[in-house]
Amino acid sequence: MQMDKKINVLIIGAGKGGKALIELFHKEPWLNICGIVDTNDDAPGIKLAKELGLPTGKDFSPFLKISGLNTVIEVTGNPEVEKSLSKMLPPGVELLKGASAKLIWTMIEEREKEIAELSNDRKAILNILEDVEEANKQLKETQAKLIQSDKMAAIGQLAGGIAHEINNPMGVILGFAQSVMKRIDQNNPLYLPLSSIEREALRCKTLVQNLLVFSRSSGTGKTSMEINQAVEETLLLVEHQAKMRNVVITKKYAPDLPMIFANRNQIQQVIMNLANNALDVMPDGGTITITTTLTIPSPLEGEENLSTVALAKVEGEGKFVEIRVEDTGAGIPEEVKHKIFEPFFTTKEPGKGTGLGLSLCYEIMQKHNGTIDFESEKGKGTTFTIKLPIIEEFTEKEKKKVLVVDDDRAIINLAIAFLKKFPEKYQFTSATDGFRAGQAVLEFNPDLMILDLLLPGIDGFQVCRNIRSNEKTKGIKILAITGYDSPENREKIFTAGANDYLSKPFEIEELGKRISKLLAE
Amino acid sequence: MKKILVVDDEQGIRDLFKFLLEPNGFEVFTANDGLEGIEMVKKDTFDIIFLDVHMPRMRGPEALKIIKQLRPTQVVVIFSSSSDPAFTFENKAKELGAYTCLYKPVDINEIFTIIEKSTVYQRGKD
Ligand SMILES: Nc1ncnc2c1ncn2[C@@H]1O[C@H](COP(=O)(O)OP(=O)(O)OP(=O)(O)O)[C@@H](O)[C@H]1O
Ligand SMILES: [Mg+2]
Repeated sequence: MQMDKKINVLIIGAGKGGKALIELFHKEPWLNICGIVDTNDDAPGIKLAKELGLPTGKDFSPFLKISGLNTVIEVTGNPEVEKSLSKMLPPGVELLKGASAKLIWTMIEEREKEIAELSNDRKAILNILEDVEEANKQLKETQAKLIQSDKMAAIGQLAGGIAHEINNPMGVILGFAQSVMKRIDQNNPLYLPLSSIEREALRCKTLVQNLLVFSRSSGTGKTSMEINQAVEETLLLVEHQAKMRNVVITKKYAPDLPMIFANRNQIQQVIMNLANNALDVMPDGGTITITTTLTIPSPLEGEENLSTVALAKVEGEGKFVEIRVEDTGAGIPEEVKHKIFEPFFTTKEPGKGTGLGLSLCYEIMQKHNGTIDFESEKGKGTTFTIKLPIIEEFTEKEKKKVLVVDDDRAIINLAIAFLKKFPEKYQFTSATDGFRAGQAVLEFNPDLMILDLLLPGIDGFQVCRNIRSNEKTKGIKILAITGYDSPENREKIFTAGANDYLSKPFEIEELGKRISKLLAE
Repeated sequence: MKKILVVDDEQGIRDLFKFLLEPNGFEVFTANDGLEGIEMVKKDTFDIIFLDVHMPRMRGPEALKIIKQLRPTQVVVIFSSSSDPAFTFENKAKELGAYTCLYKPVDINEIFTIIEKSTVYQRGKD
C-alpha cells in the first residue's frame, strides 16, 4: 500500500455516496484510499472497490489502525456509526462527517449534474450527426435519381437521333414483307418467313417507340381520361396470358373516380408493364390484384412504409388516384431493389426482357408529375403503386372551345400562340375562309369564335348572320376582328351579331382580355 | 385510274409504294425531295400525295405549304420518320393543311385505309 501520498483516506459507507467518492478519489495522485467499509457486502461501493483492487471490509476498526491514515470520511449517515467512530478515532486523524460530508455530497451532485449536462450535449451532437447522416442519405438518393434521369435523357437523345435512321429502313422491311404477304396465301411456304420478318420489324418499331418516351419532347398528348376504363382495357390484353399461366386477376376498382389529365397510351403502357412483370414472376400461377383508389393525403402519412427508392414527388398536396398492382410472386431480392428502375436492368434471360419496362414506367410517371413505388416481401409478393395527381381544372368539359377564323395565317398563329399557353382552359381549331368556318362551327361546336370580317368567299358578316340565325349555333360568342375601325363599320358588326370587336393591329394581351371577358359572360 | 404521288428521299419507300399500289390499280409517281415534288404538282394533278418530312433541299412541311397554295383542296398525307407523336408536329401539319399524319414504319393496311377514306372525303367536297 502506498502511504507516500498526502492524504490517506478511509471511507465508511459504500452506498451511492461511497461509490461516488471512490470514483472521485481513486485517480487523484495526491490521495490514497486505504480502505472502504460497509456492513453490506453487495453495496455498490464495495463492488467497485473490489474491481479496483482496493481493500474492503465489514468492520472499520482494523482500518483505523493503518499507519499513515489521516482522514476518515463517514457517509453512512448512521448516528450509531458516528458515535462509535468518534470514540475510536486515533489521534491526528480527521473525521469528515455531517456538514463536511455534506460538502462532499454537494460536490458529487454538482459533478453528476455536469455529467448529465455533458451527456445532453452529447445527445445533441448525436442528433446533429443523425441529421447530417439523413441529409447525406437524401443527397445520395437525389444524386442517384439525377444520375438515373441523366441516363434516361441520354437514351432519349440517342433514340431521337437514330429513330429516323432506323424507322426508314424498318418501314421498307415491314412494308415489303406485308405487301408480299398480301399477295400469297397462308399455305405458301414463304408465308412463315415473311410473317417472321413482319413480327420482328414490329418489335423493333416498339423498341424505338419505347426509347423515344425518354426523349423530353414526347411528353404531350394528354387528355382527360377515365382510369378504371383504361385499366380494364389494358387487362383485356393480358387476360389470355394470365389464364394460360394459371394466374387469377382480381380487380378492385373504386367507383366514381374523378377524371385525370394524362396521356392515355402511356398510362396504359405503365399498367401493361407492371402486369407483365407480375405475370413473369408467377410461372406456376398466382394472383394479380389490381386496385384503384382515390387518395387524399394526410400530412401524417409518411413515406416510412414505402420502399427506399422514393421516386418523383407528387407535386402539390392535392388529391391523387392510386393504382396498385399486387402479385403473389417471389418478391424482389434485396440486392436488386435499388436497380430495378434503371434502364436495361433485367434479371430475365436474354430475349425475354429488355429491362426497359420499369424505367419507362418511371419516366412516364415523371412526365405526369406522378410517382411509382413498390413494396416487396421475399416469398410473398410485390406491390407496385403508382399515383397520379388530379388536376381538377384540367377536365375537358370545363375547357372552352375557341375557333379562330382568319385568312391571314399570322393572325391565326398569334391567337393560337395565346390559347396554347392555357391548355387547361382552351381547346382550339382554326379555319381560313367562311365556308370552312361554317363547317368548323358545326363539327367543333365552339364556345367562342374569333372572326375576321374580311374573308374570301363568304365574308365574316355573313358568317355572323348564319350563326345567329341557326338555333344550334345562336349562343356562340363572336369576337370580330376588323381592319377598319369606323362608326359605320362598328354598327354593321354589331347588327350582324358580333358580341365584341377588336381592330387590327392588336396586342396579344388585349385579345386575351377580350376572350376571357366574353367567355365569363 | 387513281394517281398517287410519293415524295420521299428514300428509294426503299418509293419502291415500296410502287410495289404495293400498282398491282392494286393505282398509278404511282415518285419524287426525290420537296422541290421535285412541287415541280410535279405544277405539271400534273394527283388524287393523293404522300409526303415525307425529312428530305434534303426542301423538307415536307415547306413543300406542303406550297402545294396547298397551288392546289388548296389537294389531299396530302404527311409522314414522319421520327416516330415521335409530337402534338406540335401534328398540329403544325394540320395547320398547314395536311389530311393526316403517319409515322414510319407505317403499317401498309393503314395506307389502304387512308386512300379509301380520303376518296370518300374528296367526293364529299366536290
Ligand atoms: N413484380 C415483380 N416481382 C419481382 N421482380 C420484379 C417485378 N417487377 C420487376 N421485377 C424485377 O425488376 C427487373 C426489371 O423490370 P423491368 O420491367 O424494368 O424489365 P424486364 O421486365 O426485365 O424487361 P422488359 O419489361 O423490358 O420486358 C426485372 O427483370 C425483375 O428482376
Ligand atoms: Mg417488365
